[in-house]
Formats: sequence, structure tokens, C-alpha cells
Amino acid sequence: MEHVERLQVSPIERPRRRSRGRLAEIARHWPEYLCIAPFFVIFAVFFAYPIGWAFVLSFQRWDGITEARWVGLDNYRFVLNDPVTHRVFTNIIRYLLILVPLGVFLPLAFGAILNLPFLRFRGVFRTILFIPVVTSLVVVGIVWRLLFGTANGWLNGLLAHVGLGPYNWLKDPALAQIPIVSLTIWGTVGFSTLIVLGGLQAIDQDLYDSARVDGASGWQTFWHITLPLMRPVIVFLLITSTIGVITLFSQPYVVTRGGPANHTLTPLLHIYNIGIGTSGAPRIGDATALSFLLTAFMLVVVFAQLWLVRRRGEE
Amino acid sequence: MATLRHDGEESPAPVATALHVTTPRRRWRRWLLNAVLYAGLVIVAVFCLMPFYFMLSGSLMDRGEMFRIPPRFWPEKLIFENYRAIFQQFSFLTYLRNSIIVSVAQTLGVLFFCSLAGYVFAKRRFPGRNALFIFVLATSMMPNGQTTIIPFYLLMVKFNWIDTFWPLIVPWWAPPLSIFLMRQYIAAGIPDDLIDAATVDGSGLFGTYWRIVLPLSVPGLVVIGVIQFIAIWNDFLYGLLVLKSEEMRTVTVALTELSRRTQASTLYGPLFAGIVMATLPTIILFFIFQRRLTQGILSGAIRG
Repeated sequence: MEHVERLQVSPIERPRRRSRGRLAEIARHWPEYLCIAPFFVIFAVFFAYPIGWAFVLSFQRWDGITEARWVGLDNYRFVLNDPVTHRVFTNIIRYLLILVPLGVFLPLAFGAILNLPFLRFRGVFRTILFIPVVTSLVVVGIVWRLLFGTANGWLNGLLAHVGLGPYNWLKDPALAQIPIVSLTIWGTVGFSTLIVLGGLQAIDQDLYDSARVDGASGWQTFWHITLPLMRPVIVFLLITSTIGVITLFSQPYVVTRGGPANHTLTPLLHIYNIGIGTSGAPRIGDATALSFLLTAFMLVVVFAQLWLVRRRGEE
Repeated sequence: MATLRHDGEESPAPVATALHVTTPRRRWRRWLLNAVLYAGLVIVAVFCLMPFYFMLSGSLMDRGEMFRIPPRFWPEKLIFENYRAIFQQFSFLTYLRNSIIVSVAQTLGVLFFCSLAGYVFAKRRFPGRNALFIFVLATSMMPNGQTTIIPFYLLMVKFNWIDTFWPLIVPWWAPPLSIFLMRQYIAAGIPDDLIDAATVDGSGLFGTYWRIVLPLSVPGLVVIGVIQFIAIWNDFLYGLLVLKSEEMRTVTVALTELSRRTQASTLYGPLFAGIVMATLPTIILFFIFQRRLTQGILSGAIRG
């Protein structure tokens, strides 16, 4: 009977028990806590603990085998002065400047077009746009290598028909980001477009009807109704594409391997290379110091964006 | 109706479009807009599908043809030798088996732990429930995983889990977004009366979960399961991190590492056959569950 009574408590009603009975109450509910425990155990062991450990390791010099020793801020000092660090952050800023605007505007444009009521084959186009999302970018990246090959690449083969090229896509520092950028767009734009479509379809159709009755033009309707209501979706696209770019890994790993001369190397790929020791002994201290710098960079960029797109009324 | 309207002077013949046509000039502009729109969409569609065309075409070419200058876009003569080679020269069957083991074990765990937690968060009342649930949601916004790859790797070394499937299974059993989705699904989809009735009949928390909640959550579980399966099947970073020996590799890791070999260009044919077979399962799953999948992603992503 006790169980039934408990279930009938309405959500608004606060429990009136005093703190003395609180502990007994918690103990009585042990099955509930047991059921949600896996999440908390997994989070603590596999995510919280490694973050804490990484923080300690970032002040040590360690190769994973010999004795670790404390070096204070040396790792941070070294990493901040390392030309490769400057290179990877320059790269990531270039990626951000290209991929974030594309990652916001392309889905908005595709979503708006695929939502047009008179458009035929809407479903077909939506499906085609979404197929790349369910594929593995790293596996398709192997195809990309051949696509952008110099002598026998398919893209150069196509361009030769119109008298262009051949371009040294994967070896020319000025061009090598293009394969990475195009692969990323190819693999992610379908997902973002789906989010935009969901947002557009959630807008109350009555709003458009009354705007038309009031004589609003298509452009005015877009500017005063669609855009403000799509604000959460736009912020979502902005943040997810930013985080996606900052944690780029698979695309450069398989398509360009970070080259030429580190011009497509990303922070995460660099962290992997030095932390695992793909060439030479692992530099765990440097890798973890760099991951904290990367996290700080990500937080700064994301909060700057949130500040830029804040609602003006809330100031 | 509008297409049938005549306005006296140079009235245009009715056109069979859904557009409101009044004057020839306006009609011409509409036509141009449509032409640009469809042309643009076709270009985008070609861009999306082109890599699939190339992986199929490459997998059916022989080695000489693949590296011919200028490149060929479709094999002169279809050969299926590459599909035999990827199984015989390379242990592709082992890679497939590894991917299936990891994906199934992880997905089953996710379904069990997330539906259990989702049920408790949706239907049970206990001290701290809301605070704990907010904590679960908050962790989904943390940029944790990828910036902790090095300590995660070191932890796996400590656990002696390197070169086993455990690091790809256990840590991913309780993703916060799936818990959130299951909570929403159970809160909306399973009536309280049913659970109350089971409780009155003396069914405990776990008994109610097993007999009432789990069978009634199957549609929601299918969506989460398929999304999860596709995500793990395509996972690469963590597989690369912990799977060191060749016979433990999953499909994505094995193909990528093959493509990075120094003599990789000599095995592009079998590699492309492998790529086709690595890509097919998720695409087939997508087509089977397309409608429910897109709805599931929407309900999760808008809030996440």
C-alpha cells in the first residue's frame, strides 16, 4: 500500500519530511538508485577520472614507461612556444572560418528549399542528402584520397575536360584543406539540414497565414517570423559545427595524414600523435597540456559565439 | 484555380503548375526560378551520391585500370576479383565479425541501461530525482570524450583492456542523450495506471520494468538501437586507440590502416571492395528505418 500512496503524490507537492527522515527515505529507494547507477559509475570511471588524471599529467613529464616527474608549467610553456602548436591552431582557425559559415548557411538554405510546398521529389532529395550521414567518414576518406589524386585522381580527370589543372590537391599547402573541408561538408550537411527541417516544420502555420492576411511580403515573413523562431536551431548549428571542427580527427588522419608540412594537421590529431607516440617516445605531458589548451580554446570560441548571437532584449 | 484566371488582354494559356500564374513575365520568372532550383538540387544530389558511384566503380576495376591516366570513371569490363581478394588476402571476415561483436554488445547494453534509467527517471519518485536528471543532461553538453583520448588510453592500459573489445563497449553503455530519449518516450508512451496496477499486484521495480516497461518501449528501443548501431559501426577514433593487433581490428580501423600502408596503392581494388561492404550495412539499416530514424534524431537533437 505504501508504494501506491507514494505514486499518487502530485509532482507539485514538495515532500514534507524533515532531514532526519531524509536518509531513511534515500535508503528505502535503493532500487531506483541502483537502476540509474550505471550512468554515474561509467561517467565517473571513464570520463571524470581521466579528465582529473589528465590535469595531473599535464604537470608531469612522462613517456608511459619510466618514472614520471613533476615539471610544473613546463609542458604548457613548451606547447605554447612550439611552432607545431601555432600551426595547428592556425589550421583550426582557417577550418573554422570556412566550415562554420558553411555549416550554418548550407543547411538553412537546403532546409528552406526542401520545405517549399510546391517542390516535387522533396522526399527523394531529403533522403539523398541524408545518406552520407550514416556512412563512416574515415572509410569514405579513402575514396577521397583517390578522388583528389594528382595524376590519376578523378577530380583532376574531370577538370582536364574543361582545360584546368592538374592540381596537386594533397601535396600543395594552399589546396590541401579543400579535400578535408569538402569531405566534412559531405558527411555532415544532411544531418544539419534534417535539424533545420524539423525546426521549420515546428513553426505554427497560422503565423504565416496571418502574416499573409496582413499583407507581409515573402521577405518580411522570413525576416520577422521564420528567422526569430529558428534562432535556437541556428545556435545549435553554430555550436555543433564549431565543436565538430575543433575536434576534427578522422578526415585529416586518412585523407592527408596532416600533411603537407602539417598544413592540415588538427589539434586532436597532433595530440594523438604525440600522446601515443606515433613517431618517437610518447610525450604524455605535452599531449595532455595541449588537450587542456584545446578545451579552453573551444570554451572561449563557443562562449564568444553565444555572446554574439545573444538576444538583444536580454542585455 | 489561379491558373485558369484570364485577365482580358494577352491572357496566357493555362499552365499545369502549382504556381499562381498571372502574367507571362511572372510566369517566365517562376519558370526560371524553378529551373535554377531543380538544377541546384540535382548538383547537390550528384555531390552526395558521387562518392558511392566511385567506390562501386573502383571496386569493380582491375589494378591497371584504376591508375590509368587519364582516369576512367567506369570499368571497361566488370571484374569481381577484388571482392574475392579482400576476403582471401586480408581477413575481412574477421574484421566484419569484430565490428558486429562490438556493435551488438554495445547496442544491447545501451538499450538495457538507458531504458532502465529512463523508466526510473520517468515514472519513479525518489529524493534528488530532478537534480540527478539535470546532471545527466548537463554531461551531454560537456566536450569530454575527444579531448581526453590520451588519459582514456592510459586508463585502458591500466585496466589491461588494450587489444580487447571492452573499451569500445562498456564506457558507452549509458549515453546521456539516449537516457533522455528513453525517459521522454516512457513518460509519454506508458500510462501510469499500468505501472500502478503492476505495483499493486506486488511487482517490484525490476519486475515492472521487465514485464511492463520493456515490452511497451520496443518502438522507442528500435530507434535508439539503430542510431546507436550505426554510430558504433562507423566509430573510428577509439578503435584506432585501443585495437593494436591486426586480428582485433574493426572494419573501419582495418580499412583505414590498410590504406595508410606504404604500398597502399597496389591494394586499392580490394580496399574499395571492402569500403563498399563496410558502407552497405548502415545504408540498408537507414533505408529500412528511415522514417522512424529521422523522427528519432529530431526529437533528440532539438533538445540536445
